[in-house]
Amino acid sequence: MRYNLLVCGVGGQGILLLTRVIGTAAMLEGYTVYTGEVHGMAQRGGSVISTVRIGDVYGPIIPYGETDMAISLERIEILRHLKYLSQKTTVVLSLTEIHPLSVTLGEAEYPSLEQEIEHLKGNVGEVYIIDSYKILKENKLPTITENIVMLGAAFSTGKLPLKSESLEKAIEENVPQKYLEVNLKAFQAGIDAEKRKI
Amino acid sequence: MAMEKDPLLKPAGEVALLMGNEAIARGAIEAGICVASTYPGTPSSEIADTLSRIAAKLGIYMEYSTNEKVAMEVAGSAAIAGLKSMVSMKHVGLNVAADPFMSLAYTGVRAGMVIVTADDPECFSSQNEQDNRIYSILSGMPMIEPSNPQEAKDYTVLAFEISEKLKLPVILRTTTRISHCRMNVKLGEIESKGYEKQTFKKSMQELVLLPANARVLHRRLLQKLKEARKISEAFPGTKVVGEENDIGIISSGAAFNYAMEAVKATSEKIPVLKIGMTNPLPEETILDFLENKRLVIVVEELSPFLENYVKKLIAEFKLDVEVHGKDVIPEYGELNPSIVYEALAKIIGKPVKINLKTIENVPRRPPVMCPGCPHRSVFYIVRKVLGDKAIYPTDIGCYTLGALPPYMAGDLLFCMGSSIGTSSGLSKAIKEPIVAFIGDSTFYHAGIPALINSIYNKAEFILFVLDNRTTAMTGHQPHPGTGITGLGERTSEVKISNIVKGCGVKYVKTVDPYDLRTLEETFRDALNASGVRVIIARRECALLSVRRKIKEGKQIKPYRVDKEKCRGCMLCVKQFACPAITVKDGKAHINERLCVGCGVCAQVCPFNAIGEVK
Repeated sequence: MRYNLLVCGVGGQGILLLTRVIGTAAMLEGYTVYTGEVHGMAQRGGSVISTVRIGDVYGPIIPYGETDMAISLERIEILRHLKYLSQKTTVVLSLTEIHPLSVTLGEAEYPSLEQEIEHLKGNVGEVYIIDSYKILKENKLPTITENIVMLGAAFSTGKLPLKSESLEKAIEENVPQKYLEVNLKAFQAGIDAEKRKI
Repeated sequence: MAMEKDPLLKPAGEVALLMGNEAIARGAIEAGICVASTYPGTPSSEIADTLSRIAAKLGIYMEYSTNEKVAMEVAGSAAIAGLKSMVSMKHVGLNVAADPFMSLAYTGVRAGMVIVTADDPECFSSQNEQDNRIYSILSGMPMIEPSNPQEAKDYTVLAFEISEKLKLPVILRTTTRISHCRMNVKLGEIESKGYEKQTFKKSMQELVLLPANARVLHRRLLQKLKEARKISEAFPGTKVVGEENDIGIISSGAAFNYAMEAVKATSEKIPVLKIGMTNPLPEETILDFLENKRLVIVVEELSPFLENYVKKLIAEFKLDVEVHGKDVIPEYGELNPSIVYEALAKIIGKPVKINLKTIENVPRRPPVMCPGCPHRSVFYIVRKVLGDKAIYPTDIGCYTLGALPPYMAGDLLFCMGSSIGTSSGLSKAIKEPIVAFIGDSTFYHAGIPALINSIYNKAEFILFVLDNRTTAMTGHQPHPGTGITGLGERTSEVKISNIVKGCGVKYVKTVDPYDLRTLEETFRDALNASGVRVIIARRECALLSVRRKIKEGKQIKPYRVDKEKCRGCMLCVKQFACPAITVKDGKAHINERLCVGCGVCAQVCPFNAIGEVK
């Protein structure tokens, strides 16, 4: 068993918590697990990438092209990490857009979804697209649970080698008691959510 | 008994998903630590933060010291007094602490002392990527390097044992990928159970480094290092992994993982000598490994620390072994499995299969100051008033980001506290006006001697102390201005305004940076004055105030742009540049998901187009 998972997005989207939940779930199932995180200045609204490696692996860094699943909490963040992806990678992509300053200032262009799909095609395997913000609104979920909605979506692809019970238990171990219910609801909403598959 | 929810305090035999830094904290309490000190710095911060969380429960003493030098002195003196102690810091923190650090090697300690240095190859959150392994040679202190969180915990316990045996502090060196990696860690018994104050045992010859004493103690240190070499040969973390072959790899720390991944990718049998104790290096063990080898590749991050030693041994013992290292592996930045594979593949004649897909035109996303960040107002006003006309020495903290567009208020930065020292120097050297920035924690850390210097030597500049009431960048640790200790106890607040006045500054003003008008008036007033002028911009970090509001059940009321009133001048977008403000149909638009309702943009807007959502 050797499974490499990459999570990316923007600082503040709850990437570290999501990473820890998946790591905990893998541990609960008895696997050796490594997660990789970057803290400090990188977190302040900048691009954030983290990893979860399960099974027969050494250290937290995924060799180029060996990612089994990539979860992108922001629409274009995945495009920064193509060297880690390959045709064996399942991509779970949120439609949530967070424009960097250069785009707001009109100095750079935010790639369209069509352009993005063009880039991903041939370089990755299946792509599942989820409008996670819409799911939050429809289910009256707070914004901070978007990461767990995406976890539900990733789980529902059937490509994550972890059981829903372990993921739920891992959520329980990592979120404060008073936010548990809303996070479990977010997890289920992510599972039930409509996904466009490419 | 209630189930222990804190993973750090789980009983022996259990497994927890621990970050390397948490594992070091666990190792310390398994070793029976009594005293811990630190100055926070990425990637080391969570070691002490973890100990801060559990210290009161275990009866150990933990403190956030004002800087690394003081932290070293606190832990060092405790270990001399007979209490096991640990001090943790980032790599550049050891530069600050280098003076007492070097002396501690001479005085030695009477109880175990571990000095943790967390290095940052690739400068994820640092001003340089210096290789602190060299400090072990410089000081003569033994050094241990774990490769993952389990080892981080286990080696911390071993480091204390070695320190007790040699009566010498031991360096535990990690890098970002060890400190911030999580792994399932099997736990041991917790030994820390509170401590009693000791009676100080005087020994002037050992503890007062007069020249006559120091000469003797240097010789004693060299003697201890001979002993340490024997310990290094037997260190349980030093071992050969993989089957015998005439080629081999020598590695340590995080690089060991990349070496193992690279070997796996070649599908060849290549043994890897993993060195767990890297000062003194185990000569016999390395010679044993080199025997029957035709070729050896040294896989390590940054400098050729191991490689130079291996080459020295080969020359000394006239061995016929081809050595590769920094000729194929970069001496800069962070390594990874793919870089090491490529180097290995080239040498052993395997295809370099890596097909790197990258896209050039993805818009960059550098870190930015958060929505509601009180620093933003200061940079906005300073920029508005002086633009490019002034020179802006800056300092280490979130506000270093003020050097980036659109504020461009950061012209010179060396290290913690350098804003004030460089302003002192520049005021004698350049014609332009000087406006410097320093954060609250950084001010306490290294700003004060420089401020005294600037008054004494009649410097001319304006200093903004950006007081956001916390050590924000490293994870909101308390500092002397917060009135809270590392143990969570209340203490007296050491007020920045009092210090500044005490240093002899005549012009001292405190403003709320959310009040743009007063901020601008104060700044203009300071520009018309002379000497060293200090403006303290005091307002709690937005992350903390939002967190508190949520906890108190208060609503965050976002602001909104009135489309009718907005004329699309883009002042708020281009000059104020809050990440919550974007552009929609040629007009400013506030992203309600990001807005924290600070209301400063409403003061920026010349057309009164921004207001609270009713």
